[in-house]
Amino acid sequence: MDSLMQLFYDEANEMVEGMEQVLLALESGEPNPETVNALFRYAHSFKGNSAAMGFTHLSKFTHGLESAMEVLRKEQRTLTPELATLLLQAVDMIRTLLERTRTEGDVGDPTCEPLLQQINAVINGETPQPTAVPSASAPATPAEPPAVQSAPQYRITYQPAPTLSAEHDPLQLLSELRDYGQVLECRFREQIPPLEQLKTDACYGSWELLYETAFEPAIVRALLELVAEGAEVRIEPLNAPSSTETVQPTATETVVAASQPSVATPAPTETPAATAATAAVNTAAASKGEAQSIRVSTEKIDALMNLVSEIVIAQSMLSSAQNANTDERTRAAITQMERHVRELHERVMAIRLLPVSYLFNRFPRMVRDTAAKLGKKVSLEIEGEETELDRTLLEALSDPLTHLIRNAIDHGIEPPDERRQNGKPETGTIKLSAYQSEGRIYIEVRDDGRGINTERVRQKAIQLGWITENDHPSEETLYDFLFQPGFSTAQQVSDLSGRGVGMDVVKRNVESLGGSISVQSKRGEGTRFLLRVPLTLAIMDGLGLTVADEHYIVPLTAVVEAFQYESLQHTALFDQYEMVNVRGEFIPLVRLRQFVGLPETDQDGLIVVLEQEGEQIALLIDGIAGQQQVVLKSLEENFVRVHGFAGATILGDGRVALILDVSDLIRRGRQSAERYAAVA
Amino acid sequence: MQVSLKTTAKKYKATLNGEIGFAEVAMLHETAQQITRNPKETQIDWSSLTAIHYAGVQVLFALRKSLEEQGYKVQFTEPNPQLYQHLHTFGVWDALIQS
Repeated sequence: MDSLMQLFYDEANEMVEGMEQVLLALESGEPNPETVNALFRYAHSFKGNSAAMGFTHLSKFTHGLESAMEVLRKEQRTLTPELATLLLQAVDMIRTLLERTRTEGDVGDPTCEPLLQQINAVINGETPQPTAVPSASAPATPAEPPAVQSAPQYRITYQPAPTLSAEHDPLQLLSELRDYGQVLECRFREQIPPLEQLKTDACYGSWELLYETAFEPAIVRALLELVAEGAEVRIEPLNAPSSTETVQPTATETVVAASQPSVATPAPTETPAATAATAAVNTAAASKGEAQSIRVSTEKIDALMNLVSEIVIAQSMLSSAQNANTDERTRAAITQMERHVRELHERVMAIRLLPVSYLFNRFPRMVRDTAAKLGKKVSLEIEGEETELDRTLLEALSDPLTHLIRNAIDHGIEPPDERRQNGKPETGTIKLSAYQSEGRIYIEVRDDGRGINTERVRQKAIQLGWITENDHPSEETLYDFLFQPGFSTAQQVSDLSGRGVGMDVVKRNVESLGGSISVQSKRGEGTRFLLRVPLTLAIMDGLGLTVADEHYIVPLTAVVEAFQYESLQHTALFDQYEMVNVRGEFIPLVRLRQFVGLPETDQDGLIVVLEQEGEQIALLIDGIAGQQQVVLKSLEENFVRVHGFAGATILGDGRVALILDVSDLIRRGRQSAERYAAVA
Repeated sequence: MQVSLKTTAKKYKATLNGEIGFAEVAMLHETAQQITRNPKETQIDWSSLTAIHYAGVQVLFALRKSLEEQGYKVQFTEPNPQLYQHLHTFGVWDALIQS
């Protein structure tokens, strides 16, 4: 695929997502002129781009769609649920047509025209006609022009925008008017200079037309005005001279065209939904910024990141090679290099970061459609969408989050009647939020539904033979069962959330990213899933630990403190379940030698206290090898997943060190804590 | 798109084929400049032209004006029916052939 085509698809996908977000925001919020304008501009740009690439069907469909949206833009019609659904279907249709251009070429779809007719019928307050599927050869023209005999007439003065471009061809725009009515007269006023003075991208000339159409004047204006900012369109209804509509670019639009590629800053009074939509528009619009950004393929960035990783390793080797004989200048140069390599790494990593809105923006539509399918009312609240995360992680989180949100709608949120009976609002809420803390990204999916029935979970665990009737595990342990392969209840399987991706797969996916997942729930009040993932998969600050001759790494962000271990200090309960007394607080002890299968030693070692999500463990080690940046290498590319290890890295001296999975260590520690609590 | 220019001692004949989109206007402009640098009577044959961007139309207008200022005439052949309809409907054809 050539670069121009790739650029088209990149922009087209952004525009489709933008249209969907704006529609959803409009549906749930107050009408806002700027967001409606944005919606229209998306459709219009899409039309222009697809026409430029020669995708006639796409261009014609979006042409029809933009005309329909123009009525919304003029605030002449409200966005009813029926219309919203149809417009969202139209967005889906664009996706379909777009995909077909990749696989089959510019083939169109026979349902385009009926869909446009339905949209126009709803906008015009008509009862939608049953949709007859047109013949395959039916041209995908815009909505059928109404009979012109009794149609109103207008005098239109059209002064095109001053700059011509591949998209901006005034003659072509005028030609499109013929799809909507009849040009009765046309006067062309040319002001074209001799060749010596001609600028080929400047537009000289204007038109005055006598035009007959049954469509809204706003549609006419939209056709002429919007390919390029700065057109002046004057529409004068001939049967109502006093209602002359002079349409010029608004001050806002002029500012946008003159100074920045994105839309204007939203007014401070707009609703949150509208703000979200405008923000989405800004994001996509900014992505088209000419001077502010360039598109670079992800392969190139990945290659750059790999190279930086190798430089980090090489720099680490250089640092390790220092010894007492290293002269002062070399030491200074190595120190300086360390600083630059760190900065280089941070800057390259920042290139790979994307706001989580990139991922979150796909969920409003999914929630809307899933809730409608289940007859539930669900509102999705999104927070922290500006939080940035490595692109690879974002993509990998898509499936787990989709599953969790579907689950929340399917099993968490109650039907409206049940919620009302329980004194809850009919509309359930799912809150999707993201934030960064302690060098990790936290993503939370919280619902205000019925919560997890722990007794049912316990019974299922008994049935599976995982526990006995006499066992009464803690809530945390019961919740852990939800993530075990093979655990499900009949109620948890439906066509929506039982698609073969169980909670165990969700957990496995998150853990494969070096992350973890936990759940909290309160019966009748709701459930909260918390995903923790590293900021990036590539490089992290680690603390080197040693047992025997082996090196291990833990993420520096998880380290709380380290101190000399004295055997009298800890409380041994029985067997392997041990707790360490740290200033009066008992923390589960994990012996790293035991954990990795090495023989125990009589020598006292060091304790490193590790913490994650408020839970701590004490890790008994032989010694500390120091702090260093480490490049994460996946084990799973070559080996099966080994519990307790998040990956591996190459040390400065060329040896391989395993990176410990703190989540897994904490889980093991929790078992000790529960035993301790049971005995205590 | 092709713009070909044939010349005799007294006359140019510029033949336009296919489509002249915005990207091709530069080529048309260059041909027009070539004509005006050494002006002669000129015939524009666009009977095989199927579409033209308005920027291209402007070049033809400008060429006509420049040549007329120097005392030379420009003759336009009939465009193909679709293009003619397109230009005629919006007054461009009539303005172009008026001199």
